[in-house]
Amino acid sequence: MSLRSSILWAATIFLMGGMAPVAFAQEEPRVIARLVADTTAVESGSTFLLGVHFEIEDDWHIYWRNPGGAGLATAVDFELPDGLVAGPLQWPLPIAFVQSEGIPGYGYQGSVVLAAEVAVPSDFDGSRPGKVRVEASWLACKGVCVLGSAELEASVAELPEDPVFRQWAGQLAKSSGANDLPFSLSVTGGLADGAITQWLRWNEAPYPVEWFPDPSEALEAGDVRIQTRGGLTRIDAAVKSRKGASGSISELPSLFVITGDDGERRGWEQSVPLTDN
Amino acid sequence: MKYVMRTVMIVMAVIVAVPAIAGDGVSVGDAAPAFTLADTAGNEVSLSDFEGKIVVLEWLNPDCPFVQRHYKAGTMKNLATTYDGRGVVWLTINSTNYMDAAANAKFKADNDLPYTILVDQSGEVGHLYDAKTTPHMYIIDGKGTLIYIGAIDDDPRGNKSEPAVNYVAASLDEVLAGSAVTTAETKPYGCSVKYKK
Repeated sequence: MSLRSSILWAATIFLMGGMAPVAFAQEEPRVIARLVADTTAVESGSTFLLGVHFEIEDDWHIYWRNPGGAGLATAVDFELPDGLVAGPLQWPLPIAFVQSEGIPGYGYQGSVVLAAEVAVPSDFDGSRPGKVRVEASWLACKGVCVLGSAELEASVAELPEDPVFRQWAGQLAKSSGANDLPFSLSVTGGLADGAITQWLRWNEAPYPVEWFPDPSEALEAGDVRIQTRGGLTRIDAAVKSRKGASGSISELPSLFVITGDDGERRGWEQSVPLTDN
Repeated sequence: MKYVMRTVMIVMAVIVAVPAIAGDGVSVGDAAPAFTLADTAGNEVSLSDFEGKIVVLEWLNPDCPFVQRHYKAGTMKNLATTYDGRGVVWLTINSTNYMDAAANAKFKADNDLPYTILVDQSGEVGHLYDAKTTPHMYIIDGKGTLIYIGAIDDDPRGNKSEPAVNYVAASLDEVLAGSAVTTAETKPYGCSVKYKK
């Protein structure tokens, strides 16, 4: 652990008191979870971001919504005052790693904020704001694994504003409708073949690309291989359906991530059709 | 120059992003691959020793919190005991690279387990079955065909408000009744199998 991280951890441990919006994992403090928002107080008829800032001990990781071949997706559940409605949990771009020989993993190291946009109705009574409660649970691994959870709460009138949200939106993937995809995508193969090949024809010089499948419970995707030659990248993956499992098998939601010349990662969500053509 | 730099980055990114390729693994409907492993006493045990019987394979790592939760609850032991009376064989395989016969023997004794733990420190049998998680469950019917692969139940976090569906029990009930298994494949959950590098 670096000196900077050690100081952060020590300071956080010192400052932690009662059921403030900070909590440790139940066994080892591999992960610190803090309730965070992009504002201190909500306004009627507005929206704000509410989430959990996970500080992860060096070399440990927690998991993306698809943990990969093993692991467990990190969970964040909101309990809000009447009238406030949380949208879907938004996940910053994950990283890929090898969990064990032949078992890929997708998740986060260092720190990450998982948050949702909360809508405040126009008739929200600001004089009786109530409390937001968030339950977070995660699996943290570094060779061995530790389950952790935290119950966090804060008054709607005194939310713990966090500057992390100034850059947070830039860590999210763009939705499938975005028109700035730097490549055109075509897909061959399908479930009947047991494999798909995605062809990325770049609009300019190709970038390093990563692909994160996010299949339903009824699908399995793995053995990902990525090759780039000239202006064309091919991504091969094995796909199969799980017999009797529930979920869609007609398409495979996924995430493409490129690393720009400046080292910044940018991502696009794309659903890959699994038609047998 | 920019193109060259990107090409270097692409090669590096592929090296990082593409994990080692798993073995071919198995699917429901496949013949269960044959294997022979030593148990905690050093006796060789082969899948073929149980020809004609229904066999449950359970992948184990006592250090995994998901395994610990199920062993604390007696999930595996209760299932094995219940279905032993109906002719079902329960074999637990530990492919954890650092757990030798003595460590597995201690776990078996500490938990008073009625079934065999097979030691697979090389990970050979784990890779043969493409076992990914602990626990990861497989059921083989009397003809030697895989009829279930996946999770032990539908409650990865162990906090469902309604009773969990135990997929292994459901599958065993169906096959023992002469029916096809309805939910034959599910996504396994748990820690990754700690294979030898």
